[in-house]
Amino acid sequence: MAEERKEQKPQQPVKKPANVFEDKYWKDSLLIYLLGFILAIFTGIVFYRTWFPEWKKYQKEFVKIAEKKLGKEKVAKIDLGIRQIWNKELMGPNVADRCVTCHIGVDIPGLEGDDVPVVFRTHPNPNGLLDKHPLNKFGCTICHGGIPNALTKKEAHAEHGVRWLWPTYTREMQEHYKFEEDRLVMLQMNCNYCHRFEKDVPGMDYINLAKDIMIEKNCQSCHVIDGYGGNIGPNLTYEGDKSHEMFDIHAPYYVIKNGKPEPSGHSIADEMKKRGLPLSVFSWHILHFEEPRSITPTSSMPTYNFSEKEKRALTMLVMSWRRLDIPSRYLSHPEKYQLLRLMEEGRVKPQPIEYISLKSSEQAKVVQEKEESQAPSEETKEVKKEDGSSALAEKGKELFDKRGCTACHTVGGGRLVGPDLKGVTARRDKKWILSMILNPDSMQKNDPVAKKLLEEYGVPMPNQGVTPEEAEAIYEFLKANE
Amino acid sequence: MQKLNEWWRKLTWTFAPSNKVEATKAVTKNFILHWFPARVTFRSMSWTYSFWLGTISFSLFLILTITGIILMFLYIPSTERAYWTIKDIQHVVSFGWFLRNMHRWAAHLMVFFVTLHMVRVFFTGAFKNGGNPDANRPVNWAVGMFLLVFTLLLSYTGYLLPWDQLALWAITIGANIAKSVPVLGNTLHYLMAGGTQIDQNTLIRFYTLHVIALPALLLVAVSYHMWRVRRDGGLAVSEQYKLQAKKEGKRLVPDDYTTFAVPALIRRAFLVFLISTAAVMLLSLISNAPLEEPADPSWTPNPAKAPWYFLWLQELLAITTIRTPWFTINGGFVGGVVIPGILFLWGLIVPFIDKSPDEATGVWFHPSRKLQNWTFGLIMLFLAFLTIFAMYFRGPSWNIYWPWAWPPIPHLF
Amino acid sequence: MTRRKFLAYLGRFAVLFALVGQALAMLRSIVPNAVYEPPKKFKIGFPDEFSEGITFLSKYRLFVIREGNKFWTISAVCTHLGCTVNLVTFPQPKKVKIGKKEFTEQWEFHCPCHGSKFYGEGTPFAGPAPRPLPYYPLDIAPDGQLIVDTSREVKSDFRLVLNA
Repeated sequence: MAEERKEQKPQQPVKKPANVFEDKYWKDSLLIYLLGFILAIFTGIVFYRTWFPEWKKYQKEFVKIAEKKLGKEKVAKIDLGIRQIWNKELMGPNVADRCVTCHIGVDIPGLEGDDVPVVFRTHPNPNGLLDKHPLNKFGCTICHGGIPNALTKKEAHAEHGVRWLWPTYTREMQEHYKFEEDRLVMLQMNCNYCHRFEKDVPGMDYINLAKDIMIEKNCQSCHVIDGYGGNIGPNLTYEGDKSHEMFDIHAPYYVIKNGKPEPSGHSIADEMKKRGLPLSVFSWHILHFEEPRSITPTSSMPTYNFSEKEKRALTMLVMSWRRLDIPSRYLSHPEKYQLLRLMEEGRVKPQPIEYISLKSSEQAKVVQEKEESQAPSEETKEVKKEDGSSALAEKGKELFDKRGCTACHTVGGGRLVGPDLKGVTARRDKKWILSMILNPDSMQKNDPVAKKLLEEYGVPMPNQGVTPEEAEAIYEFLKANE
Repeated sequence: MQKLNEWWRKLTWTFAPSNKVEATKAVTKNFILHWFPARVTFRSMSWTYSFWLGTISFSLFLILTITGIILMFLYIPSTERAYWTIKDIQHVVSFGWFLRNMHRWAAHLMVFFVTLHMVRVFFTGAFKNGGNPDANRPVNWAVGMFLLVFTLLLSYTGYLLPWDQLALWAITIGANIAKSVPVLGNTLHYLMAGGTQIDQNTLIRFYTLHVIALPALLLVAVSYHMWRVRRDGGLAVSEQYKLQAKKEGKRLVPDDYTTFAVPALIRRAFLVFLISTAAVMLLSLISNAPLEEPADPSWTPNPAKAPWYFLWLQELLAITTIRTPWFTINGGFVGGVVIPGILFLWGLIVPFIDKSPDEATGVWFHPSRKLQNWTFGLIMLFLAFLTIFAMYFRGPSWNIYWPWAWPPIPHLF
Repeated sequence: MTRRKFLAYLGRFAVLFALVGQALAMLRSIVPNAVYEPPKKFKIGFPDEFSEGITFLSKYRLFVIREGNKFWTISAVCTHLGCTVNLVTFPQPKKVKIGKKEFTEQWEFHCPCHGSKFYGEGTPFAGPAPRPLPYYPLDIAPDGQLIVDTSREVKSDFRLVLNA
């Protein structure tokens, strides 16, 4: 540069015009400045969006409302900013519940009541729920569903459009499914993740109802549930894990005319639309529980005429059955989950897993005693009144329930899947009845009467694995109820 | 104050030369500018000749590299954690949403613009030497074809990293395309997957390819590509001056048809970079990068569609299974390996089989190249048609539906 | 050939040998010798647990079919490009012709990715899938459970027949 200056100085008067070059593309500079402005505006928007995200608006709103209710001093102590609950063993590394960034009031007493917007309200504590499930241990999404880590309402709740399988259960969702409840009941499904092998659990009224129905109707006689059961219907142990891809809602919907399923002319999806139900697996189950043959016309599952509440309760139960990696410390009765695993691995023979009732301990004791001994009870007394015979018939009645006969047969209640067994001991001889109980498969293949019945009823009678002694007891029961 | 000015001048004179001598020296005295020639022809500066598509592509690559390096601080390539680090980038990391969107949009645009660039070069016959005995532009065209493949591979390895359903099934299908190659198929699949199953081993392979192996290859190839342009005497359109001069029997004087590259060329290149950045920013502000459900091998999304630049390939895979009474050839091989392979090879040799005269060099739709332009154009249109068809008319189960009549897939709730 | 030339060639060859050798070693290192994967042979449960007809085991991407005391498995991985096929069941059995034989099926397999369709016994009849869905051999493990071996395929007439 220095030598340049030296050169230029003496030559300057001559070289100057030739040395200067014409800037033909000077307009580019203007365009650059214009783009600079545009980029600056964009950058401004980027900064605005980052510094004023959705959640900050919620927090500002919260402070206003909380200060009115609790006073400025208390509210000043609350940590604002991004708030999260992280429990590595329950949620996994890199996963944290950030619901509390907007739902700040959940663990602050004094924010109950209708004058506080739902989002800011103190978390209700029915039956000491929160004391047993502390927020800082369990987080939120394990019970309420939704996407952890997310910080916008749409994503955190996994609203429609967000690609996530397990959305937050909202009152809006319950309205879509026409639940008749004001309170949130759908999240009871998630309670069942850890409380699967309990019943009569306070706060889980829908699930409790569904489990009672399941036990009463003996679903396990046809379905494997909790690793044990019959094989007439599909294995429901992890029904909640079934992907939506496995449910064809465009298959035809059938209506029952004169006891027989006939195509309605429209699809299952159309039926859901007709009833205003969302197009979902949840709706599919509701329809299926209502009338199995409307979905699968060749199904041998009986029509139980469940109420709207029962249909939803059963759907919730069935969709709560999932295989999850919850550490055993969080499970209620982890030994039962362990038993289920052992059955799946074949280290233990399939056996029914009994649900522990959480009714008060005194009542629980009574229930146990009743099952263990054949102590005189009201029902036994009744039987004794009628014909004065055996504890065997009493045992037989128990077995009639336990061994799954009630799934398909009534005694004096009319035809179900199978024939009404009232008076069967008069119609058929003892040997025939015992053979049917002990060897239904071979009977239905070889015995002409059994074959005819099979043709008439269309559904094969499964072998329920009854022992000869038990068969005797059942026979006595049937005899006693002529 | 005077001292400050002097010091500033010393630092920046190469970017803003004040006279011809400085302008000439600028490119030799500045590391960044040593890429550029001292002079550049007016025609190659034209907006409507090249549309500066190559510069746009490179600008996008720059944006991708910078945003990519920052994202590397934030992303963990573990099958357990990857998905959640992406969620965190979107929600919790300051400007994370912006970084991810910029990266995603720049990637899509880069694929689009390198394709456009290739189309431009073909239609202007810019892979020809135009009578210049020292140039070998067909070589640069071949390098460009490889650059296109690297760009597509970078895109592919990139959208596998979030480990969501799109990622898992895209890898599964890609690895199975490799498997469909006769003889070598199983080995190729084993190498791609890092085992027999798509799992952590697969993720780390694609991560490594995406963040260092492919970018390094691309960088080397791009450097050579740009050096070749200079080595061949600038953009092909510059040959027109010599051809014209020869025809008219005139002599060429630099000032008549060139100007100093500094500031003309570098300023316009910078402008193009700013325009590219503005476009990517605008898209990042109005549209978020998508994320599907976490990877789950037990169910396949329906429909499972590749990003737009692979839809033509996906459509081909689905319709090119050859069935004869004696044997069947998997469409994955025909549509996924053979046809793209043939297209690529044909692309490579295109300049070597183009027998058009030198006059067609650097001219849009020169009449002597009607056949070539029509052939190329129709092939590109066909691929575009396949893309649009697969995008709007293929619905669940890859059945054909009107775009407004796709049957709904149920949710869980 | 002089001694000098010989040594020069030897030296150059040595350099080449060293560099090429190391390059090959580096390439070989990324071909895995041991992988972290679940075993190819695994148990799927007791025969009694399976209902008559077809059951989908999503964890293993496998269908298990039971006909009385006969069992067999069909893979749920589409032979086109590896997507998981969906099971489509029919309320009424469907009669189809496969080659020269007639076959009555109660279900089919449809792949969501590119529209491949397979008959109930695995033969593709629509879409790009080139081969039938593979069958894997079934056996009874010592503890009585069904055990599948996905490392080898068997013909479509394979049946595991249980007595009693």
